[in-house]
Amino acid sequence: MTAPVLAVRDLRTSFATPRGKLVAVDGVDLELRKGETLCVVGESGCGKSVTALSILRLLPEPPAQIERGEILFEGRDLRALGAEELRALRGNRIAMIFQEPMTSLNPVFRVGDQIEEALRVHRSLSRTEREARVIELLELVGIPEPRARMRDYPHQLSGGMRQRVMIAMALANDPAVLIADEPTTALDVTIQAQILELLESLKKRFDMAVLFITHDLGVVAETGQRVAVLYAGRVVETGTVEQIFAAPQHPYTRGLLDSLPSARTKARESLRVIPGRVPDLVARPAGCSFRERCTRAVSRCASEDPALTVGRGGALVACHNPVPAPGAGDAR
Amino acid sequence: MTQSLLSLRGLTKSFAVGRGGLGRRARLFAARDVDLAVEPGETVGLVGESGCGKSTVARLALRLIEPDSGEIHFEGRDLRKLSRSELRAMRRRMQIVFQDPFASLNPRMTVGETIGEGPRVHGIASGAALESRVSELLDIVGLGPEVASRYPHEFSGGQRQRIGIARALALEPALVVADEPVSSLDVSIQAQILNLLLELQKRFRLAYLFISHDLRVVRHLSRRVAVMYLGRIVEHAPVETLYARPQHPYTEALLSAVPVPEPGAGRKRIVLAGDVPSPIAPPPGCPFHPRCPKAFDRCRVERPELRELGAGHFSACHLAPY
Repeated sequence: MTAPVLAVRDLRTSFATPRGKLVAVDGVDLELRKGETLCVVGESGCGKSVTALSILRLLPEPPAQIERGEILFEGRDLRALGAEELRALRGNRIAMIFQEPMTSLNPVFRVGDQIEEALRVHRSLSRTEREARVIELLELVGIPEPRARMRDYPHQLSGGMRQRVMIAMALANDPAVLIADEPTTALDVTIQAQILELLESLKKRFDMAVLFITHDLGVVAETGQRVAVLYAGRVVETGTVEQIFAAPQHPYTRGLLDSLPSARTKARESLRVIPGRVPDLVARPAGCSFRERCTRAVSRCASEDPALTVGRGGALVACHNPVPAPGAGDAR
Repeated sequence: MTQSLLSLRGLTKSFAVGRGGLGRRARLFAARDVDLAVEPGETVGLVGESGCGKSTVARLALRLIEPDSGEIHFEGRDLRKLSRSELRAMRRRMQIVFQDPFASLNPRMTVGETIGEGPRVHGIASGAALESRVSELLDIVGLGPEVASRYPHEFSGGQRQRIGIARALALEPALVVADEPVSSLDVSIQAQILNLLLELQKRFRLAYLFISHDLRVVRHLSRRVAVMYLGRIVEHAPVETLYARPQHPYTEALLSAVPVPEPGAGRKRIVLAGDVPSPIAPPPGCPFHPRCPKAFDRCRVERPELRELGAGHFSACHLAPY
């Protein structure tokens, strides 16, 4: 197996809040290999975006603080790098795209100039070379009439086109890793399909590794090779897409899949729900964070926080009483 | 045939939009010739992408905005012909739940005041009777009576949506228009609210006009579904028929674009080219033809009418097998 291009080890990120310290990410481990898409999935507040922002050190410190852990990119620990060295990596070897392209693009500059800036910062190209590259990039992301569009301002473009511009900017310097934080969440479903298709073809073409953050399990099933499920700042289960969807082992993953209406759920009848809601991350309860919502909780769950251990088929699961394989014994 | 609870006929709504200088005005047709009926106790889903006109139809149905033309019949009466006071009395029977539980609750009113406002204003209950009605409504939506004295900011999104639902139920409506009521919620909370809506429908024989961009959710709740594109209904059918045998290429593409949580499902995804055209200058002929993989010459010049294919299945496509 190849060495991971990006590895996060035991990452812990907290925020100072008026109510006390909020631990948003609490001991997260992730490994991303060349050419693969790793989906990080979870609900609001599970720490998926904070994990992504911690990797690139894009969180304002304070109130945020990366308390411990390693972020290894091509073997170097990003936490040990100075501001200058980090800037040389960001938007260059590691690029990021966000949910809302309108807030990530600067409304007062033409989109072509914004892509050109990404080139100017990281490369020594002549002006004509840069312009040629901008046109090439816009073509690459499927923007028609790139020569005309590069002179447009962000507000003149549709949401889908703006996301394409963001992707062009992210690809400007041939990144090894692309971090995509809910890149299709703000888009309509037919436009989402276009963007997912584009990301997939670009990933293959440039052999990138993609860290794809989403709340949508459907998107995970269609884009990822591996998945990490986050709950209350921790990875509760991680494995291949097939493992997680066919036979989830953590009760939270099972619950999430059951909550989704689908062709398999009975129309107009109650869905199986996860009762309650996520715990307060300022005052995390002892033991397993999911136990109060869990139908499989046992006494041990109250006292001992389950560690991520090897489960069926080599998937990792953090649970004292994991969901059995479908068809085995007490399968639900 | 029994009378529909709500029936919309030929509803059209346009807005004047500024364009360029010299006082030139263009019109944006947000809804055009919309026909739709909702029977007592049933759910009709209205789906489509941003800007297709589905929320405009929701607002027209309640006469929160005035149509340019068309009729709105509710419980047998033409809402457009009612006087102000008659309309107000009628409003008790038709309520709305909004998408954003953060923006749709008044932050300066306690939960109890918000839920009790309708019964109080309509002179149905006051004093101790109002208080007990509020407690009852809170119980119906799964909240405790103690929350009545608290303010919206103290609640999570899912709880606020429960409060919004309690407010809608306060006047014992026959129809609830739900405009993307679960779109801003996480899936585990979304499932809780969907279950609540289903339970309330059975208990109070509510009819829902359920507006959503989420085809999975619409399939789960609805008996019949209408698909909108650029202000018009392009297909309308019983839910099983629409999902199993869509007869409009737009519905087909929309359904195929929904990501399914089943890896390797081996589905063929139809990826439409381009964006939705501007509703200010919709394309001639069939409004979908510039993005349609099946378009042919006739589609570029002649707009297909919404026609019945049989058994309540309507489609506006030249290729549909009439």
